[in-house]
Amino acid sequence: MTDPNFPETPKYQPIPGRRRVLYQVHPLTIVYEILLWVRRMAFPLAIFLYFSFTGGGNDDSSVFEIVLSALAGLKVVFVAINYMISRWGFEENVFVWKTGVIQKQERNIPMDRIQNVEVERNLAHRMLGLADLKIDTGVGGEAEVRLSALGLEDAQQLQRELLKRRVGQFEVGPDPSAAGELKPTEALWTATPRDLVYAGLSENRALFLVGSIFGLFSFFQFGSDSMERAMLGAVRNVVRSWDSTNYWPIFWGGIALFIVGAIAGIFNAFIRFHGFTITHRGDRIVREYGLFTHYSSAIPLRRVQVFTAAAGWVKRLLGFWSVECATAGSVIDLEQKGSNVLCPVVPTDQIGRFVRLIFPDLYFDRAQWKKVSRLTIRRHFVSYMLVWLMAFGAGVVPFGPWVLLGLIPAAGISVCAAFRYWETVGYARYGGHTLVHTGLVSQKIYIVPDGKVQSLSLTQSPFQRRGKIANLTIVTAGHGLGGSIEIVDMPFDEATRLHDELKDAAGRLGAWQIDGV
Amino acid sequence: MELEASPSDATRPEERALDPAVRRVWLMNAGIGALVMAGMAVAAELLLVPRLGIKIPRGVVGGAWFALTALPSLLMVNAQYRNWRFNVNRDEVTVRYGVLWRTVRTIPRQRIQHVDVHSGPVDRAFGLSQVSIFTAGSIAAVISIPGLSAYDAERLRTDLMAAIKQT
Repeated sequence: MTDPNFPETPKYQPIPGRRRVLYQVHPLTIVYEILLWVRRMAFPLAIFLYFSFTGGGNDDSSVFEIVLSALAGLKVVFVAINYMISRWGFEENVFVWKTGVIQKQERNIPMDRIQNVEVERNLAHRMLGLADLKIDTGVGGEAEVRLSALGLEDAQQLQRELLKRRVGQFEVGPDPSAAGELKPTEALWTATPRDLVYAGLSENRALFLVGSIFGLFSFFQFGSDSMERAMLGAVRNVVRSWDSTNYWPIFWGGIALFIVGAIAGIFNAFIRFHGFTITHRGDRIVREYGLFTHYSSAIPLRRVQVFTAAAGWVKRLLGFWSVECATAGSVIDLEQKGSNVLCPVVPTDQIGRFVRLIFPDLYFDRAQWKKVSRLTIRRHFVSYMLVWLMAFGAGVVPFGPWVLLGLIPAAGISVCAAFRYWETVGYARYGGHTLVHTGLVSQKIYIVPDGKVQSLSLTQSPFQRRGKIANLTIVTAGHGLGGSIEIVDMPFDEATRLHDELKDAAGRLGAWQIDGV
Repeated sequence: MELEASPSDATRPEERALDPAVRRVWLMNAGIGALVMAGMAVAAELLLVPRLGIKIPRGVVGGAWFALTALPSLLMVNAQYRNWRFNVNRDEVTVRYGVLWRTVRTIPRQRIQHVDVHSGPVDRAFGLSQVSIFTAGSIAAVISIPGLSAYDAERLRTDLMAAIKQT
């Protein structure tokens, strides 16, 4: 059955000046891939050669030789088959890449979604007159297509062709930064020594210090025996003081470690964030900081996918948050990789000011926050109690069943924590932005413009279905699937309404481009 | 919108079920996975149980492990198939799946960056393909629709690409 509107074989278009419509990579790819494999297998190969030349004719070396030879043979066959079946070409304005021996794959990349095309050559490429061509669509991680390998001229021609077709897909607007608007304004924010002290205090370096000291001992090799003796001695002293119910050494040791860690944290903050200044330049925010290594980086405001304010309990106790702007990790502009700390210490009442730097129309203080369902108190109480139960349950064997009495105060703490969680988390909508407040001990406030929403998920566990609540997950290009924004335990109707509203808004605002919306 | 899977397409006519052959693919994949796990359990039984000095008839640990890992997957295949629905319309791609934890995932069409069509050996044995849809920054596919006939997969791919070209 063939539908004339959906031909089973795509009609690929040839590159001007070339006759074939589907192309193979260069035949020397087989040699190149085998060279790569040899490089990766250098160590086992060295062992193999050693045994071969030293006449290691025992059973073990024979088995090793057989296994390695079989692997090499399989690799050659695999590379040759992959070369024969891999094809690339164009179907109107879609780049098509077919590959895979066992897992067959056909990747389709529309021209207007291409963010970067790169020709890459290493030493082996140069020896063989080849080049790799990488196509990036901003999905993240490695390039989405890696044509390995093409003849150098073919790679350069394909790069030109892809960039030409890509540019033809949409008009490139004027670059505001090129119009002489890059003169820096006066500093929008300068970190004072007091700010740096707070930044250091909130990032206690105690554990880092302990790790470094042990690392140094190992590095200078004061003798593994003496190291082991020292560690065992320390553990023994702790156990002895515990047994003799003399807890003071542990207490004072902990306090000393905390103080040293705090001093190290402040020292580190002064080195890292010395002279921290934020200025406005055209459509960019520029941060400059650093004592020994000086950093200067710019964030084009249109590329901000998510604004995040984050604070652990220590930072909140001191009245500070840190603010970050996640960008899409584009390779077009090397300044723009991954998440950016916009400012490490912002007083709580100044968060709104930073929000308005990124989203000028958003008045953070005026957002009308909504709470999630009260059922979240019960659900969180149960989950906290399960943790307590496991902890106290594990203590029954060594200490006896009376340990379970600890569950009574634990239940009280869990109720308070669950209630506090419900009071803390929430969400709000404000002029085309979604604001989400998450976390209890370590809290985060996310702000996502509608135009940056990539996908949405609604999830319900069996318990949530009974209580008519659901989790709504918002994914942006600044997070990826692993670190999305989740509003937990929303009333189901409200979650559905917000899901539909965001979905419609994202669809209405047009195609996602790094500089778009 | 409800997360509950519909018993038939009649309640949500716009949504489509997967090819019924996908159940056999899932069964085979679950079986292969369970056999690997059972093999590991048997190896653990042969190596560890004698050292612990526990007297257990041979094969009990491996069998129990196989039952624990394979049976839920094997039993859930039908429910999983019944609950798997997808809908591709003018504005968005939506999938609905899950037996215990139920999920509805939506991608506005405008957000699609690229589309993959792929098939493993087991898929190919049953004439099936999988379509994976990627958005910016997602790293992995945001939506993967399994159990499509090769014709349907190609049709869906063409449809999605045509929509992107219009945006």
